[in-house]
Amino acid sequence: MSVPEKIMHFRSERAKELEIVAASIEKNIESGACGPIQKAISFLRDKNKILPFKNGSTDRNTWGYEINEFEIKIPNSKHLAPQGVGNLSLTLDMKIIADCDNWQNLSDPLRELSFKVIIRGIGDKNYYSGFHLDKHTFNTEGEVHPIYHLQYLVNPHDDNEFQYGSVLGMDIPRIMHYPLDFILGIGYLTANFFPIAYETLLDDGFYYNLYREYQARIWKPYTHTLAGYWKPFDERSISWDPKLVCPFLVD
Amino acid sequence: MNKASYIYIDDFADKSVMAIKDGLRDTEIINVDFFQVSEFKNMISEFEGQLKIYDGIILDLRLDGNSDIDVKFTASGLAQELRNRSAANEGIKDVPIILCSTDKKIREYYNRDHTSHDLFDYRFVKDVSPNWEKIASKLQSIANGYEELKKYKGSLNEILGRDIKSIDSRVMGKFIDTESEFPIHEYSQHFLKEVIRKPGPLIQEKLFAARLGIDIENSKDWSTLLQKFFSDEKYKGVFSDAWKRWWMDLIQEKFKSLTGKRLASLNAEQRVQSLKDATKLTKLVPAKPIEKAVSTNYWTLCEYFKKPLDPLEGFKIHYTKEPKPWQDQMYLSFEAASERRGLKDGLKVNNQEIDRLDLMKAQFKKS
Repeated sequence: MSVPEKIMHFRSERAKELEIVAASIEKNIESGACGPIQKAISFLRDKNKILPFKNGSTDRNTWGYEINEFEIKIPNSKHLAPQGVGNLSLTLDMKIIADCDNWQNLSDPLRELSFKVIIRGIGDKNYYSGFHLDKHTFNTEGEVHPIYHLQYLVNPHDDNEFQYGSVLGMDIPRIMHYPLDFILGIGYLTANFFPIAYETLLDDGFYYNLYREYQARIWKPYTHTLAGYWKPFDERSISWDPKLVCPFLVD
Repeated sequence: MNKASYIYIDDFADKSVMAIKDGLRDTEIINVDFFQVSEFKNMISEFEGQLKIYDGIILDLRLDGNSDIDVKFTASGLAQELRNRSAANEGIKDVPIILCSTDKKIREYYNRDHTSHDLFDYRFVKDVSPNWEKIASKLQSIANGYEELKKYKGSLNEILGRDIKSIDSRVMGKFIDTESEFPIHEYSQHFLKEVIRKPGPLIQEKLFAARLGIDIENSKDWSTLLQKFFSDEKYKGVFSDAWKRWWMDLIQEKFKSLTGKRLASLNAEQRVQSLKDATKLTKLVPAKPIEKAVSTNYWTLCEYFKKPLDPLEGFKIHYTKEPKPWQDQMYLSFEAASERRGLKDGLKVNNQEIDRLDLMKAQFKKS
């Protein structure tokens, strides 16, 4: 089953965008090897490949990609513990499936999203931290799940032998969070874990224009939907600076 | 260095060959003498002897084309031997080696054999009415560069005319943090071909203007802007006398300090307006998009039209050698790519982008 021409056109545009971002990462972040992104680019360009949903089904009218084990080295953060841990690296595993028809409107553009980040530090042994950002696509009866939510991972590898120490393992709040694809994600991750690289990426017109474009494609439907809840919506009375609310927004 | 002296070696000694020698000589920028090629052993002896006085060598690509003389090697073979012997300190001076040939021969022989490309510092086409002034200036600059590289003894700060701590360490390649000594031609090859002649940390004037959103031809204040506001950002290292380049990171910093804005965040109209406000130079005109393009968020050039282009609207070019991670990708506009412009000069769309180009062409036809 091959992908229709119209959808392939859409997918090849997205592939090109990922390619520009991969080149920008390799240029601006010395440790940013982009092999995993290249696989996603090739996948998008292959008309015989459609990324399946979690349940194994496929839809020819979707586009999407997986990026596995994308790793960058990050500087040591200020509040690093335990003492002596260093040589931090961040690994991203993600999957996105989206509707081609909902790319330029105010509907939710994504059908599936998983975005898992694991940070490793080396001390007397490996130490891990991490979080994931998911879109919930299943019935969550009895639980309050924001559709896109971020959750901190106490035991990122689900290790049965994990030493909990004084940590209490339990379901912690699923924090309502806007969605992130790879292009927005690399901005988000560098802004939080590698601010110098974030500034350098923003100075690079190859990256900046795409970062802005993807904010409009992915964040605008999300935030407009929320803002539209309190109708009537009077934008003239808003005096709060949106960039204070969300410093990742760019002009 | 004073006027550089080059020895031009060809298998023929006819009028067309003399026209090249005279064309370069008449510029009065460099001196050129002619030497007709002879057998290989003899050529090496000549370079160990009387040809040692020259600051550079110009080689015709096909030295084996004249049946009247018994020569069975090409420019690549001779250049390889000269490079080997100079690297091993075997009595051959390490000087620039320049390749010249007809466009046809370059396409037939040189472009097909990439292994020889690293032997030559520069090449020019000896077709009808070459720009002798430009070629002679480049040759003088390369000879100057060799002298400077010898003098600087591997000091990268001096080679690049800037404290290298603030530059991506990959740009310096194998020359950084090493005790090894490299032949001068290796420095020359790397800095001239990889750093200066390809966009990345250093950019040339048209790309500089594109990133500022400026239409050079219609902006009478362009040169004033460069001289008054961007002279500190100009590249002042080796080969800068003939290759005008600017440091991209310094341009970004200067733009921010002048306007308070991030260059990449603005479109051409906004970039130009911000510069006009900050510099009070009024004769700056924003560049218009190439035909069939829309965006003015320029960050690259169409390699065919040499006009500003938003990379999102461009098509990555085909490379014989992929850019290094710290170099910028290069693009063709849809107009150039769809009309297959520049094919003669080797400009074509990257294989990975051909499907996208075909789909876009089909879409344009429908609309």
